[in-house]
Amino acid sequence: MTKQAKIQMLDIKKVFVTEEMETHALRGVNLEIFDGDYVSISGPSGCGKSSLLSLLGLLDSPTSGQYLIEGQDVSSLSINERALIRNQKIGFIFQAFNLIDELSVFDNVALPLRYREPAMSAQAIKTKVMDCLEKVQMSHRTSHKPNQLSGGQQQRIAIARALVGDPAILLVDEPTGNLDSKNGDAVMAMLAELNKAGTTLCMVTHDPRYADMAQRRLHLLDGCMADELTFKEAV
Amino acid sequence: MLLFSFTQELKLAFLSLKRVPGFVLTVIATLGITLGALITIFNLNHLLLVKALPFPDAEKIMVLDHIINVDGQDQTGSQTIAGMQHWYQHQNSLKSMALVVRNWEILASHQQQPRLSMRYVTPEYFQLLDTPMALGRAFSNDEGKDSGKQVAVLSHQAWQQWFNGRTDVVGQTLQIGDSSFKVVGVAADSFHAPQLTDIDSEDIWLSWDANPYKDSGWGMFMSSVKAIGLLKDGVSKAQAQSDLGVMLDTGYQASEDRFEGETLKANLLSLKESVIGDTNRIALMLLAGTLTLLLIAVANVTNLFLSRAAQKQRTLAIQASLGARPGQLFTALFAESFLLCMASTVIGLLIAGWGFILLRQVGEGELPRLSELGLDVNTLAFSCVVGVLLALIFARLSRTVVNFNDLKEQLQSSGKGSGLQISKRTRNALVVAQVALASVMLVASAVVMEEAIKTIYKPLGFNSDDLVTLRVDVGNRYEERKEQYALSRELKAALLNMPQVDSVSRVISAPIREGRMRITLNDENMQRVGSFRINLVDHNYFDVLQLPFIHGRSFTPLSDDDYASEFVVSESLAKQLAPDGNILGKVFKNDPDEPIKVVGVVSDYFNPGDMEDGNGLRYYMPYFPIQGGFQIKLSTGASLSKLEVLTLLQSIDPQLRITELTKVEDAHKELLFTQVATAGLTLALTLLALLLAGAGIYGVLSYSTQMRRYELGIHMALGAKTGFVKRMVMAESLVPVFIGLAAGLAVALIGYALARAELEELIQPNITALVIAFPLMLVAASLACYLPVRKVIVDDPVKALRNE
Repeated sequence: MTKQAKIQMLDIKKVFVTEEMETHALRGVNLEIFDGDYVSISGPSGCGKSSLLSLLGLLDSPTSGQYLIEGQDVSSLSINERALIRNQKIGFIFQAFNLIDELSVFDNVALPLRYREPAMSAQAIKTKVMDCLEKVQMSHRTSHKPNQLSGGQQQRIAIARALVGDPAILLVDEPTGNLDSKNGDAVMAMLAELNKAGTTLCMVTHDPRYADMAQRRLHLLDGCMADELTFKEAV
Repeated sequence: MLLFSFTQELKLAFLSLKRVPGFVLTVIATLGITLGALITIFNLNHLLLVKALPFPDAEKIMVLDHIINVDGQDQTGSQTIAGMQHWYQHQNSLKSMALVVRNWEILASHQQQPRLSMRYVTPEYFQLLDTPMALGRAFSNDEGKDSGKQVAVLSHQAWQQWFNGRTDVVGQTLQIGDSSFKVVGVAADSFHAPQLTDIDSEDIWLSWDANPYKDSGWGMFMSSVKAIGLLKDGVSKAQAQSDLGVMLDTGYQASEDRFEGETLKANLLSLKESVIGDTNRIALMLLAGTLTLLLIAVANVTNLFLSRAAQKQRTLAIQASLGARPGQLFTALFAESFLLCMASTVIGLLIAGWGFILLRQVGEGELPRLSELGLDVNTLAFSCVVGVLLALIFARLSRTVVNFNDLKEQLQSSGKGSGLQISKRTRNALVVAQVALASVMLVASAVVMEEAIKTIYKPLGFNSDDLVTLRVDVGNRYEERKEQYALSRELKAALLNMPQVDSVSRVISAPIREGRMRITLNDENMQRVGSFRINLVDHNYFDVLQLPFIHGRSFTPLSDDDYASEFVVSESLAKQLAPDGNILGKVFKNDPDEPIKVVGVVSDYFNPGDMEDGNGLRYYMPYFPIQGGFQIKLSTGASLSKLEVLTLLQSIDPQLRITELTKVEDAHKELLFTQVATAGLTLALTLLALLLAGAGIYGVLSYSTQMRRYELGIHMALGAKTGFVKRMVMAESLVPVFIGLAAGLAVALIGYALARAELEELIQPNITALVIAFPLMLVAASLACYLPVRKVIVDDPVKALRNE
């Protein structure tokens, strides 16, 4: 029986067009991520890592190609349809944490649940949020504002927020980029634990040490998968 | 090198602005309209307050008036021709003196027989004002007082309008009224005659001796008489005033026409004082108003520039981190603001050109020197200076967005810099103020506009289709009452014989351009009932106008020797005279020996030319030939030309002239011009208020949204739908909008309560104004709230997150 891919990208291209020039960020990327995978994507600056992650997270639209999440073609959905999928199937962890300063830790984590339709009850939200904060050992900081926390703590809150919606896949963008090595290691250990517990992970990183922690290591070069042959063989 | 660098910056700024057409349009529209108003009013103020009159030695030219002292009280405004001529012959204080009398006359030798504004002047008038001539010459010294010469000089406008600018007009003889005048010249277009007697333009100058009032005595005081004179060297204004005063009173006291207890003095005003009067106060108030408008516009546009700078903050921070000095960043920002402000200035100058035309129409009769309005070096320089100053202000404020002491923070943040930030409270206060101010303006505009529109569309109450008013100048030859009756009957019969005429009534007043004639009505015991508008008409007048009778009938036609014993009243007057409704048969008196009985009540009609009691307390009595006219009903669609009427008149008497031949519908439109102009101007102001408020709110909220763009990106990245983001931002943005609306409503109500007594005479406020104004303001404000959010939500979240 063929294993169903959680994520499937077929010949994805992304071209940025300005008045002066066209920049080909991705030149026909093919990619499959399966349930329980821990995939790292690395490559030199400008190879298209961030563009690929933005497309994976439906934060941006491809110029051409087909993109399927759990078998559903999401390449040409409307803004709101893409928002729904981001909310229900994707969890994000950003390099810059991207927490909202005006909201408390609890409210930051609760955000994805507040976008749910039909609306979740306050009690259900509270249970889910506290559960996730427990997982990242931050349940004692629910009333704090992000700027009252250290970088490592903020990233743990961001992980809790990414997990709270029970996503199909967690997309992680340079999770240690803004952290010192001690906090970086702690965050990476937490991600490894999550993967062991069954969470599918796709991470963009510069750091070969952290890239090696993934089961599958993909390399991008000039907008193409460098290990494409191996991938094709696998397919 | 510096210039080259700035030129490069201008090119870059142009390319950059091409990408933000909405921002460019909003800034240029807001500033362009405001600058247009400011430039127009600056030009007016410069003209009235600063610019010298375009005449040599203008500061030494005096306007000579009389002061009449009656029992210790001074009265001004009227002069005697005898006094003026007395000065002209005997004065020693002035180097030169000119006499001027205004009058209206018919240009009889022209096919259309227009009624034109004439000035009878002595030759010194042209010499004192150094009148430039387009053709021919001005009056020579031998065409002055007592010369018996009848010569004319045409104004440039009259030459163009009535003589098609023909150069052979000089030397032609014109028939003006009953006299002939030889044209000796045409004044140049650049000659702006000073408005001495009123604000009317001058069409033709005629030699003094043709003046019909020249022999009037010391007892005849007229406002249409003036004199101007140039002070002799070494003679002060006070000295001349004293000498001329003594001379004037001596002449007056020696005359047979003097009144006991009255003395005359001279009143000398410089030509500028006389021409400008106290209109400089109006001009200054207009300037204050437009400067306030500019301040509001500048506050709004500043928000837009800050919002734009916030968008560019990261770019600016990168430039700064690469070593760009504050001055260099300022130059780049200045290039953008300079392009926008200069474009706005050009638009403003174009609008000012239109503003001059509007001001000439609206201000005619109220403000002097309007014919001189126009773009000149001073106005252009002022416009450029204002444009550059605004560009400097906007660039300086935009530059403060970059904090050179904390570049790292700004490079890492994505939109929320640590440079200049306007607090949320301040932003909300700005929105509240904008909405409140605009709401009050909208309510006021809606009230004024509603009044104007009501007047424009108000039915007249009679059928004005194919109705024509004719007035005939019969001269002074028909002095006997029988002759006058006979002539008016003959004219009426002749008019009725014209194939296109259905019916005719003789009238004293036209229905909607009626005179101000009121005659007191007394009851049977000669107790005064009131003074009401009266019209003397034929018995068929009501049929001609199709003015329906409510009760009774028209009066019985009179023979020449009969005196009126019946009359007809309007519905309103009937209600006032007999509140019980039994008006028919009631007897009143004008004259103790001539009782008159009410025999009919006709509908009221609306006269837009008489807003005091436009619906009219009127009464109608049988026609009596004073200086009358005819109300003519034409066949459907027929027309009546001046030539046809003139031919008919002259077949009866070659001396008869047409004073007026107007379609009632045209007169109606003409009378509604003020209302149409008011409605148009109010609509323009309303749109301007909406635009300014909209731009202001948009600027503030665009800035707020820009500050929150990154946060909104996060919401979207986490799966918030566009509707959620929209609702979230709009809910917050609309709070100050609603507070502003409530404040505006409160201010409007309080303002009305405070000024109720004064306002009720002018306008009748009602709920419609509020029903229109507030939803309109809410829609405009909602749009201004929505547009900045829309910019964020229509793009992929990655753009907000990267602050692209």
